[in-house]
Amino acid sequence: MGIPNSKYKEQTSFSDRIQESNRIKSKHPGRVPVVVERYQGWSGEQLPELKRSKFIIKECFTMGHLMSMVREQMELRSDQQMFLFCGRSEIPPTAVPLSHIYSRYKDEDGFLYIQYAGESAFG
Amino acid sequence: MSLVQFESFTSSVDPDYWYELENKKLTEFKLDNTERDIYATYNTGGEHEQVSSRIRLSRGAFNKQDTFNTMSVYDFSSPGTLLNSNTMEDFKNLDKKAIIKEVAKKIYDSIVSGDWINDPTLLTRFYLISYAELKQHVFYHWFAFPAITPTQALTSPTSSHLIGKTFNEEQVEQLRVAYDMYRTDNHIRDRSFFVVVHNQTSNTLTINSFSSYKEEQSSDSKVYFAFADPSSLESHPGWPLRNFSLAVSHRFPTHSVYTFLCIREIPNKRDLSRSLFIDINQATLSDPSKMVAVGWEKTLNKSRPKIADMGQMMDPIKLAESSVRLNLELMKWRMFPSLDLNKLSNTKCLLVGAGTLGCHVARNLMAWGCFNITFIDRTKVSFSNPVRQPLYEYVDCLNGGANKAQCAADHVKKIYPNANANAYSLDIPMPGHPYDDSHKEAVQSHYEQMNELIKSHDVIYLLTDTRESRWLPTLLATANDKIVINAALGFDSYLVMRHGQPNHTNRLGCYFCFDVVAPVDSTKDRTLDQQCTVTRPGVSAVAGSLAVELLVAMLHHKLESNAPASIVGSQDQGELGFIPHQIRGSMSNFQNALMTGSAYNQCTACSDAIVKEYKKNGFDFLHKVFNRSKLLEELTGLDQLQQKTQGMLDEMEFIDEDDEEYQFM
Repeated sequence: MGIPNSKYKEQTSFSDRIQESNRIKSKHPGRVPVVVERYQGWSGEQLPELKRSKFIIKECFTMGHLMSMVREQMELRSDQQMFLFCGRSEIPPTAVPLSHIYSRYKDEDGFLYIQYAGESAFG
Repeated sequence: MSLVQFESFTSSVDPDYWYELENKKLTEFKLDNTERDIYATYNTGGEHEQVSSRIRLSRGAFNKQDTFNTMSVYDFSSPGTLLNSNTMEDFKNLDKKAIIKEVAKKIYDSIVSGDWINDPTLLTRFYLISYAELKQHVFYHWFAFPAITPTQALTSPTSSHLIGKTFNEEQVEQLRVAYDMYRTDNHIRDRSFFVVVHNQTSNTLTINSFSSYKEEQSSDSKVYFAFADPSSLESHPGWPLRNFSLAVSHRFPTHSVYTFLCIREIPNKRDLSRSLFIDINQATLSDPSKMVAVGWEKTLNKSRPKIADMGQMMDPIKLAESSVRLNLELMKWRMFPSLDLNKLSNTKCLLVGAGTLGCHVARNLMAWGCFNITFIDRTKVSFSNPVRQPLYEYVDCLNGGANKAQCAADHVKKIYPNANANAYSLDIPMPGHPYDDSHKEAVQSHYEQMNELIKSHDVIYLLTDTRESRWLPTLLATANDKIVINAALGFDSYLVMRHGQPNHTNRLGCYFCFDVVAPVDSTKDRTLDQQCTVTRPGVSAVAGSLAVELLVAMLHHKLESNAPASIVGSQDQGELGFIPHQIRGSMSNFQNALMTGSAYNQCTACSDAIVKEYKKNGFDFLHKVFNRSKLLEELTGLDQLQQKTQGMLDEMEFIDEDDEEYQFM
């Protein structure tokens, strides 16, 4: 799947990003800044892109909540399976609150980057 | 006075010896090419000249006791040494002059030291060089039967003659009886060379082993030095007499002429009449430094190695078996010494789905020597299949198409007849695929068959073409604590993963652990291209081989399926390196990512809530799920999670942070 990419990261300088995440964190205690983007690695992508990719989310929400929300926003049919992942190799536990995920996988710019992709199902 | 000429040995190697060598080379010797002790046998009195002086190697040749155990009283043993070269070049470049000299020197030393008295078979010591071309089952080999050349050639004052010329019938019979008793009472090593003493006063014949024989002083006794003579030529004694006559001359130096009795007994016929007497003049050994020896076997009168081509003789099925084994055993020589082929060949694999993935997985399992393969598929072979699914051919599509699972199993056996390939044509019941009550019994029977198959296999491969068809086997494998390898394809991507099992430490997730919706009918309201496996053709071959490599790597970790997931940089590896949880690959950039994710306590397939419900209510529970898959979300609490999310979305605000729009929850 290669190196994860983020449009937001590419379009914004590191110093701007770090300033912004600091501002969000101080302004919204108990919430974390999250960027959720579609994984660009597959050309045969069947999932739509999110209209808005940036979130400020309560720390106590789980990955499961986040996933459920992303599904709703994409209006994904229930027969389409997807998964979320962080960094290069971690599929965060679905039941774990975002505070854990954030402290473990946050980028050095202070954002938590999460990518989503459609699950394969053919044989 | 005439020169004595001897008939040399002709080697005769049983195919069983070559099988044994092949086996030992592959599994035991590997690259170790040090000398090995081997034991040959010969017998006497072949009635036909064609089988005269045959010396034989058989299956037990590598073990002295095995050789002795299979010998009858008419067989005689000869100790030898095998030097099996690793390459043809090594074989060709062996210094044959040096070899025969060295072996002859051992015989020479045993004559000088008198060791041969306690073990006369040392006089027939031989040497065998060989090179085994194992891929073709061709064995290049060359025997040396060293004979020490005395200072002057061996001569006889008279000519040889049949036993009947010296002994009358009664004496021959007396000798035969004495020899029978002698063989029963003495060790095998004393059978082939011994002393016959004829007391002329009492007209009695006695037989002594060399170790018990004391030289007779009495003048009325005639001494014959006897040996089991492999030759059946009336004109020539056999090869053992060469070293034997030197040994006797050296041991009993006071004689000027020795009478040798060449025992030629037709096995089981109680007939010694073809035995010969021959007188040989005293001969002397040269200085050790000047010792010369001859004896490399000639083939069609030329000095050259023999070639045993077992490839043509072997039973083709046996040949297939040993060749397949060969390729795998070779891994153990250098690359992968701890390869456990028995574990692989004992592992029973259930392949759920015999499509592109099923075909590739089966072929790769076979390549690893994993031949217990059972296919489940409900479809028939269609015309589009053969080009992508390598177990099928055009003819399998004719007349409505062959039953796919059976056809796959048949082809596995065509590829390798020893494979234990089985097939079950059954429909996998699926969540969200309702049926009316008239079908309930059939569905239940399919579930029960599936459950039995999962119980009776060690590894369950999920290779079907929808998400929902993977649900039941995932649940049943979890309930029965079986290894699951799951492979799934996208257009240009693939997923290959292993499922965690209930009692694992840091249990890994299953295919269903990473989403928050229950499987439903994914074929309803979909166009044809969305229903079929429309993928770049290469993804199934890649994913199929990864699915097998993942299993093999896992089986070679000391914790097997409980092995922790390894990712780049991790120390935790097995004998074959990484054992990832998930391999997610993409053909669009030709890259793989190794991913890890843990089991989800609200999973719709493997969570405790589901497994408990299944164990409690069995098919009744499944029946409900097949008809209404939302039940899975209710049991796991995912319905509440979805409701909560809905609530969150309703309350969600959009806020601007320095012109950047965020969704705020």
